[in-house]
Amino acid sequence: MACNHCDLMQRVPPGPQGAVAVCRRCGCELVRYQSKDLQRPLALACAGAVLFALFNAFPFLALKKAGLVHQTHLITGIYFLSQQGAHSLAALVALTVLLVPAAHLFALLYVLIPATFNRTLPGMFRVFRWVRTLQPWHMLEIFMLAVLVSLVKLAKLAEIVPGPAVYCLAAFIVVTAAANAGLDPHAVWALWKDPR
Amino acid sequence: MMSSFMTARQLGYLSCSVCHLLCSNCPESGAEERRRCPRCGARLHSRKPDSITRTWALLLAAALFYVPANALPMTTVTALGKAQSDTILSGVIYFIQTGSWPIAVVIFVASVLVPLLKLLILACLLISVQRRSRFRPRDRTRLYLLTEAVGRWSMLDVFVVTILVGMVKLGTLATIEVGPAALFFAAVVVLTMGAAMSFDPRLIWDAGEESMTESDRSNGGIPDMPVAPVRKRSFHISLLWVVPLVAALIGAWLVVKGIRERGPRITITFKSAEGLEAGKTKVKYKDVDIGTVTAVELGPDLQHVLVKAELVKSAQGLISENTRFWVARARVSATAIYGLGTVFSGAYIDLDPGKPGKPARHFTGLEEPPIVTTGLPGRHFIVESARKESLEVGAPVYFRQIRVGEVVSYRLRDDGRTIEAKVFVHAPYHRFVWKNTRFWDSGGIDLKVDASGVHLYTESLATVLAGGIAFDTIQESPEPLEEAPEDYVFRLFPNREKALEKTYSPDNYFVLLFEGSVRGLSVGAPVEFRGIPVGKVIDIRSEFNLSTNKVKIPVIIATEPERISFVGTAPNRESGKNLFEYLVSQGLRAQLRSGNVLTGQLYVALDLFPNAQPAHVTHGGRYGYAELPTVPSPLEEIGSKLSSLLDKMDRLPLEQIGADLRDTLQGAKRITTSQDLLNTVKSLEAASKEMHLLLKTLRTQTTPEMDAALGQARTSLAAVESLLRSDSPLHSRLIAAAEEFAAASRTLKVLAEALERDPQSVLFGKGQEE
Repeated sequence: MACNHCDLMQRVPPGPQGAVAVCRRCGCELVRYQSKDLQRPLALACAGAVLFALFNAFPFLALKKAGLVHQTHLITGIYFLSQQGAHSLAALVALTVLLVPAAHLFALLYVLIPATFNRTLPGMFRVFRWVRTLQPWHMLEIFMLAVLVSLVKLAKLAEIVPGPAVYCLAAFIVVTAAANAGLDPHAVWALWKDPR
Repeated sequence: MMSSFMTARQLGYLSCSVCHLLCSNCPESGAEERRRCPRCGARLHSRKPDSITRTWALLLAAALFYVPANALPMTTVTALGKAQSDTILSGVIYFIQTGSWPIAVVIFVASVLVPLLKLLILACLLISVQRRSRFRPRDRTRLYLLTEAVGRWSMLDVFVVTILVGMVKLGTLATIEVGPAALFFAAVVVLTMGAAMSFDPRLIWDAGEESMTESDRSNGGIPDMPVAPVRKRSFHISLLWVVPLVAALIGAWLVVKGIRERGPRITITFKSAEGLEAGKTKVKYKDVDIGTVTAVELGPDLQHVLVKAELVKSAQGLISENTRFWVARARVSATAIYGLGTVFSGAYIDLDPGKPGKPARHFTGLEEPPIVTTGLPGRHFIVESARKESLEVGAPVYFRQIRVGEVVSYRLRDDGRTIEAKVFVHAPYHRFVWKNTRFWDSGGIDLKVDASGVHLYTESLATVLAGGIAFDTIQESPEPLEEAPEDYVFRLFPNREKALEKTYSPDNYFVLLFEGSVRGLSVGAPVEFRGIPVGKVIDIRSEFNLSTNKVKIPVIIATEPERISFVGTAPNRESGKNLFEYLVSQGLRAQLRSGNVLTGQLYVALDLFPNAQPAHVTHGGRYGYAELPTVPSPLEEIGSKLSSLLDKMDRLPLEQIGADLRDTLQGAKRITTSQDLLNTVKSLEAASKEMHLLLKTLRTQTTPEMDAALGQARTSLAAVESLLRSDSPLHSRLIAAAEEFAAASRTLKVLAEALERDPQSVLFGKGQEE
């Protein structure tokens, strides 16, 4: 196996669960020995899918000021952004907050469901590659932090009532993080049989 | 040692960057650019193509965008027509100023520091790779990994702006518009992320390997490939944990800040929650917000409303058990309009801290705002009255027609007999309330018509509508003027006239014991001192003493000794009650007198009877009052004298006198019919004969002398006659005397007739004259 960061070829010995094989030269993580069990990530991903639907459906934050109540959904901000003419910005936010997480989640499900049953589906590994490459663009956790920051920012201005979506979002982040952390990509890659 | 380190490229392999699949880099399989991973379909290349050029291009673009991203406004807040633009840095400064330093740090790091560091680090890495530096490749790789992982977090500010834009959309009140910087900033983030991705960290290591390529390649196959060391995951921390960490940090900081700034939480009980709204209604003191209502609930008894409020920390010292709360709403009364501002702003809870006391958290709210709040200079007094009169809460108090105070509250005493009202008199007027000050009801109009014309009296127009009370002091009082202390009790008089008339203190109540009938004496009858009213009858009772079988009538009077001015000092400087004792020792007595001959009304007269039998004031006598000695009334005196006269007449020995008289007459008769009398007559005859002789001799011998004597007598008689003539003074006096006598006898006759007709007039005077 070659290190991704320094291209060093090295053997990766089998190791106990929870341990990490690091590159001899650059010290970067090579392999994380994880449970080959794919059921747990799958279960978490399913939960994530439910939560994803929930936090998009329920009101997100409500702003109360002088009797006026302004309720927002997750997409309200994006909608207003595009209304104000910042279409590219709106698209970027929509991409990182909605589309990428959604695509990521469903791709993961598409991979994990057959993988759990030791089956392969056409394009499954291609999809899994997308799962891996989309990872950095999945920015919901940053969005969550932004929610906290804006809460503090607006607290002085008006009363903010967090809606159920906020809790769903928090749970979604935890669940997807756990799913990703518990997923051993090699367990998926190992399913691949060299056609040659 | 170095020789054992073989890279995939050196060994002729291509490693898939996504799935780590090793593919042999056979030249025959086509150009490197077209090779794809057979497993995942990712492009395969031993090094990222044009990595340095691409990275530089993206990096420079990001650096260019970084300038406007920080210089231009990120957001434009339009609130009430006023626009305010915020750059990233001014947002950070805002958070620092408002004390939210953790947020400020987060934003500063994510939005300013991270992009900048990323730019610098990537630039450094690129330069080091281009210069084929061998300086610490391991650390440089780590640095690269860090930039790659941390870069995404710069999106934070973009998301914040998105949320703010979505959230703050309060109609025309306030809007937040995204500024041009947001787009630049997002571009910076995306470009730096792209730059980091296009950079190939393997280039860092390539610098050290170049020389040994050919020699090792000749070995062929795979020599002794190094085995990757396996470590326990001790140090590795996923960057994902930054989220909960930062969240926990912010949360903890919010909690700490909340606890530090949290003031007392209080519960106020009201009868109604009209106008109160959780989260909106404020608690104000002197029109300064000191808290907010957090909840409005129905009390456990379903009769009251529990209003929970959270106050600011500085209110801690303000709240004690004496604090009063009430809901400030707009109120209109006859004298004033209060709280007009609440019509627009909504009701709020007002409070009066009251005197310092023990801390408390549960309060009962007032339904009406208190008239007088703590700290208002002045003094409270208590006015009691049998009827409510115009003791309305808030009714004005006047002193010489100046409004000086208000009625604060009123309540029926527990015994249900009197109304007790609390009155507040503002400074400096409270100094004019003396202990002998009189309060009266000044409500309405006092209209009076009498011989001197029509009198209209009112304190002010407001009192006509709303009622009110007034006070004044009788300055002529002999008592030294003493300021009334707080909560001094006064009586409320129904009007000004009565108030300034008289008053009785319980000290000046006396009981008088009369023995005769008190017919004609009524409660309220005056007590007079030589015609000057000094008091009145309070009560008339009657008692029968079983041991002496005597009836006594106790009459209770109230007196006002101040009405009598005392000149000089008593021998032993006595005053008050002792003064009465001194007066009694000097002959002061009470007496029932007829005040009106026609109606037979009686009054009690206090007078000095120097000849009265010595008596003294009996203290603590019957009915708890001092007892003043009494003397009988003048008619009673006449009656008793008459009866004693009749008694004396009764005792005259009339029969014996008659018997004596009869004896005398019998003796006389016996004398006239006796022989002795005859003999006496005979001897008298003889004596007359002898007299005759004697007279004869007298005529002859004494006549001439007699004539002379007669002449003398005549002259003297003439003198007498002139004295007794009808026009002489003696004569006229005699006639007058005779006439007076006749008139006296006539009058006696009339009296006798009147007595015969109406015998009781002896006692009660003459009746009506027909």
